[in-house]
Amino acid sequence: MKAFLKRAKEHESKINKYTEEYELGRKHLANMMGIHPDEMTQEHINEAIRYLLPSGLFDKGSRPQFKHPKDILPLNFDFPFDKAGRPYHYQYYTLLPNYHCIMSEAAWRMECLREEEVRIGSTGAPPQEEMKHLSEEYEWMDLRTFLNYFKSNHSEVVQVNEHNRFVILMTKLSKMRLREQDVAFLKQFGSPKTSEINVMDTEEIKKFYVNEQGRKFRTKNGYRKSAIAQVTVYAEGEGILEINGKGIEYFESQYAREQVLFPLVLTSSLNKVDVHARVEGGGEMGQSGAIRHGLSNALLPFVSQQMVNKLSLSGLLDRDSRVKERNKPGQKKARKQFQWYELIKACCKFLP
Amino acid sequence: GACIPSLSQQKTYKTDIKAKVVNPRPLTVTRIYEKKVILKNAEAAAALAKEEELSDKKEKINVYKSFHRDIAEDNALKNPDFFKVKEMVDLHTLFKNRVHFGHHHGCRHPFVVPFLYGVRQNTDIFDLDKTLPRLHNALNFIAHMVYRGGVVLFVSRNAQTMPLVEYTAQKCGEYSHCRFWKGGLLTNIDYLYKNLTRYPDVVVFIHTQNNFSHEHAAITECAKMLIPTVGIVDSNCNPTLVTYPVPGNDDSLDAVKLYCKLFEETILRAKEYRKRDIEELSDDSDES
Repeated sequence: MKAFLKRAKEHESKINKYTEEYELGRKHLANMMGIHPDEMTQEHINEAIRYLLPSGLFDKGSRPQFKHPKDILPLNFDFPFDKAGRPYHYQYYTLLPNYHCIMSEAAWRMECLREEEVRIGSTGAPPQEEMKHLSEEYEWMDLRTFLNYFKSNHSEVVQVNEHNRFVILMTKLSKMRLREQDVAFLKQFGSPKTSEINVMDTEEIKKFYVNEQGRKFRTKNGYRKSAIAQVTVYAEGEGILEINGKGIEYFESQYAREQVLFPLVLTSSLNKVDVHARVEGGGEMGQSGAIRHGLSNALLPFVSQQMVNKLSLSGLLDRDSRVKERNKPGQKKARKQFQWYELIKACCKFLP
Repeated sequence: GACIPSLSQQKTYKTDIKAKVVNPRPLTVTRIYEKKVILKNAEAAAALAKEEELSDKKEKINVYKSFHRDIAEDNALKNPDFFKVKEMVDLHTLFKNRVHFGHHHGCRHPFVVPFLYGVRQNTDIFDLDKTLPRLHNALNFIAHMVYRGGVVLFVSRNAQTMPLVEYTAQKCGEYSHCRFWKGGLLTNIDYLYKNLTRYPDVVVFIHTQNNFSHEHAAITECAKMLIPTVGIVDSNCNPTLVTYPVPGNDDSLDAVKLYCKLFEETILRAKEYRKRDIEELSDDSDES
């Protein structure tokens, strides 16, 4: 407590001393410039100092300045503890109280949610508050913003390890079933992932047509090698899959079936969408690839923007341009070459 | 059946640490409450009275003069159980919350042997008749310190119970440190903190060991800085440097919940009493 009072007195005396010096210098400057001291503003002072003490330093904060001490020093020395010496923050003895406060609060919320889940699962009672999963993935604070947040607000120096742990904890929390207060807590540190790269134009993606019966649908063509597929996707469906009048048994191999189902699995819309497809040409693999291409293009209006970016970056929306390589003269097939003595024979044909 | 450690198992353990006393200074202790001696001889009584008069003129070192005391008159020291700590805990509650379970007998620390009742199915069992009075003493001590406005620091390094411990500390209005302990936090306090900080007056260990099953670094630091510690000592822990060791289980959730509840109750009760007594005294002084 004594030290507290001592420090406060020292600070006060310092400020008083500097203010006296400032006032004196101001009067002298006004005398030099020929202006009345009451009419002199900070701009006059800055100009004068730039003239009298020119410096070529790049950092403007390190050039000579002449300001009132209240602009430079803080008026009230805010100690993080009271007169008796007891700190205000309950985690003051860890050297980063505010960071650890956030982490421990998140951990406590996780514990409460786990207990609730256990209680619901064991007794079968309904939850006390509304609990929902987050609809979108959240993006957490950048390293830079994280460091600045603690430096500017609380003057704490945080390291990269702390940021990594923070991100891990927050992602863990966000994957549980959350209450409203937890969502509000998370929104301080993150926001739903926005599409930084607008990969596709929005109008073309969100186009769909409406049936006579009032169902939304979209048809798109899909191509692969020499197979052409026409795929229609009906929204708000049960999970019907039709290929040329048959189900997924149209394809015999597991690989081909997976290719057809993959876009539905990615967008998690297996039982929410009806698919009808017509395929011609090509073989089993080509036809399955064509259906995949058409399906992923037709699903776009019924899916969030985040998922659209994912699909485009994964390459499902692109036409696979791989085609059978042509045969070349002097070789048997595209890459297969003759035996070395036959090569000579083949070349001799071209000689005169 | 239970097997009790036999006398032959008790060994004398030699420690390699040899403490060297440098510049030993004699301790001067002053008694605050003096006994009144009734003498039959009148001469002896007269002689004593003269000595007392002389001694009154000398400067007595009153320990409480230099400190700022909110509560000048201490009724708390007259009653052995001023804070009614014995009503909080029962032997039955300790048993119900599984405080008597220790670790495997192979993990046993030799200095914990006197607190053990025996071994059952390869697990050490604590003697609850020995933990209960020690727990009472520890709670009483914490209550007294908080009654005089002391700073309590909760320390534990167990990830499972960390949120619970920090929540209790926040509720009581006291402090917690359940993170990586930087060496020199208490011994090198001026270097690590910008401002002159106050040392904690009591440090409470709910887990005396750290993540690597070694002794927590804070125990030696508190011992060096003469900060009294309260610690829950499991059968694989070292109880020597803890001033108020409470032998018991620190691994099961029920036991830790019990400890947190008890610490919380004592601290809040002590703060209530403090508030009440300060108000009473201030009212009296204003009236007078």
